[in-house]
Amino acid sequence: MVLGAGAVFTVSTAQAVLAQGPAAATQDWKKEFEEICAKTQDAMALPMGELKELVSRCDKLKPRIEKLDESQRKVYSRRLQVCRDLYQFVIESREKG
Amino acid sequence: MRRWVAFLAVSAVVASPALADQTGTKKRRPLPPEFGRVIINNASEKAGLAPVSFDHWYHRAKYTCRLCHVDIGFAMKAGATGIKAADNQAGFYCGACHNGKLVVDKRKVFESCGKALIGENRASCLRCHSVGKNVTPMVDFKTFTKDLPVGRFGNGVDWEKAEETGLVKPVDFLEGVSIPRKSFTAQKDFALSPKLQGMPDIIFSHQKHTVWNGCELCHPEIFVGVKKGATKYSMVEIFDGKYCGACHVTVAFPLIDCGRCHTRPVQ
Amino acid sequence: MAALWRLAALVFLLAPVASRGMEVVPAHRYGLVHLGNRAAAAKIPPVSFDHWKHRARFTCRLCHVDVGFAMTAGQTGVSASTNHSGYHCGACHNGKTVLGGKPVFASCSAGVDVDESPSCRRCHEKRDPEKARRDYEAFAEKFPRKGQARAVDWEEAEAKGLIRPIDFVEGVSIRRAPLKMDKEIAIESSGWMTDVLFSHRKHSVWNGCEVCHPEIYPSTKSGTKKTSMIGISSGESCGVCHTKVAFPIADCERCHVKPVR
Repeated sequence: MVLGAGAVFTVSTAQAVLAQGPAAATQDWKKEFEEICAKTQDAMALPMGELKELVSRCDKLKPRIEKLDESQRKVYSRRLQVCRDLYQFVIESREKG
Repeated sequence: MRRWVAFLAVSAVVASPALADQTGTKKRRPLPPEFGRVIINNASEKAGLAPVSFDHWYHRAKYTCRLCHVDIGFAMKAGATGIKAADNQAGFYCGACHNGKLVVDKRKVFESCGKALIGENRASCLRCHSVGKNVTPMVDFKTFTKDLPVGRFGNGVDWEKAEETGLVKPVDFLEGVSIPRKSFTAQKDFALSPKLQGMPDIIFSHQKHTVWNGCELCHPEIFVGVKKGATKYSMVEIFDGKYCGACHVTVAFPLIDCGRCHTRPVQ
Repeated sequence: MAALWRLAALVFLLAPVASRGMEVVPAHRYGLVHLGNRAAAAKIPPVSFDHWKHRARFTCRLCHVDVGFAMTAGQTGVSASTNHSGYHCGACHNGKTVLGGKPVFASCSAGVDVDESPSCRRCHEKRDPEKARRDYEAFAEKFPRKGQARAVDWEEAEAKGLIRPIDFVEGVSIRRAPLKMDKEIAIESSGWMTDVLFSHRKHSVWNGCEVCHPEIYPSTKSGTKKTSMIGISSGESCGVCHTKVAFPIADCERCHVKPVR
């Protein structure tokens, strides 16, 4: 009964997402970018695990940004790079320090 | 024949010190309004326009370095960004603000590379594409900087003091471009010792720099070494545009003001 | 025979390079700079700037760092417009700055007809060589003289307090705590000449740090900048100043001070 309800819920959610269409999908990358890179100011205070996760999320987002149109790609791949490199920098400084 | 060529080549090499006049000599110091001028010419001349002459002083009085160089994504070297009219039209780079819609100081920021402007009336392009053209800037440098604290060299303005005293309030956030975030953990100030005996120590202030730059602008591209002293910075490299010289040669207060950084008397 | 011609051609090529710094320029003409970039286009006489008048009163640093003049004629881009805006000559020559008890005459007022204006002709006038020589001699009479050209020994004049060059002008300079650098550097000379003992103290009196570092000497590490007398006489390194304004390199013994080995 619960499983059935869960299945219905999953299907209807999936349908809802798909129903939003491609516009929603294209804005997802931006949301993801903003989520990841909002924390650069506090990078020095973040725990190691979170930093590594952020770097990994940056790496996953990169190919999606590479598929954007020229102007967006130019701007956001640079922004993502700068953001990722900062987290990596903090990781390395802790590992070496 | 070959012997004559060789002879001429040798003579040219030996006589070349005569040409050394222009290198290793005291060059003219840029005038206060010129300091921070960047000439951008990736595609301008190819498009039949004069190169862009961008003077930093006006923008830096209004915005942090971080906003343009991290959020909007401008590179720190002329020509490295690769700005095109299409990018501006799409609302990136200059077009992030220069879109004819954003209101700053109760004025609409003029549109850059607007589709309607190009081809029709190139006179409006001259506002930025002004190298070699006699274009009077809308904001006069002397009037604008009249009441700002006087600084040594560079723009002749002490921007640090101007910000501290609230005479300039650089904006650090652009709607739709910047990521909303809370304010951040301050890093400590630390001392750097110069190699040359007799020169005072440098007190590097993170706080003074992060006001304008945040973290990403410097780390890791400009400063890779993390632990204090892990990377040695030589003045030759710095004068050449590396490390501190990435900013303090062309836009931030220039390095010839030795006493500005070398401030602690040596113990 | 062909070899001789080639040798002659080589000497001919090199002669101007090697001898430029070694010629003895008459004292009253030494340090003369012609500023005529825009003058020709504006159909007014170029400015004949004599360094000696200013260097008796101001340090090199004040003009070449605080005001920002280049050290090569024509490089600065001085114009009536920059002067009138208070830059370059106009930093002091603005009719307001008081030096020596009176306001310094204004240079290049806007919208002035040069032909009608005696004040323009204070600078923009064809140089009278004889008058220039007389003025210099009258000035130099009371100063110690040195060198083959019997020019004013500025170093001694300053050391004796006969001149007190000003290093700070209100509105032009910003005060900084002075950096003490008294290091003397021994420069080994190749060949038969004695070594040179470079004195920071003597140079920083006139130049501070910024005149030389980093543009002329980027590295502070001893021995990184190697030059030769040919280089120096062409205006490299020491030659930036010591072939044009500071005592000329033709006076060898002023630098090569130690007794011959």
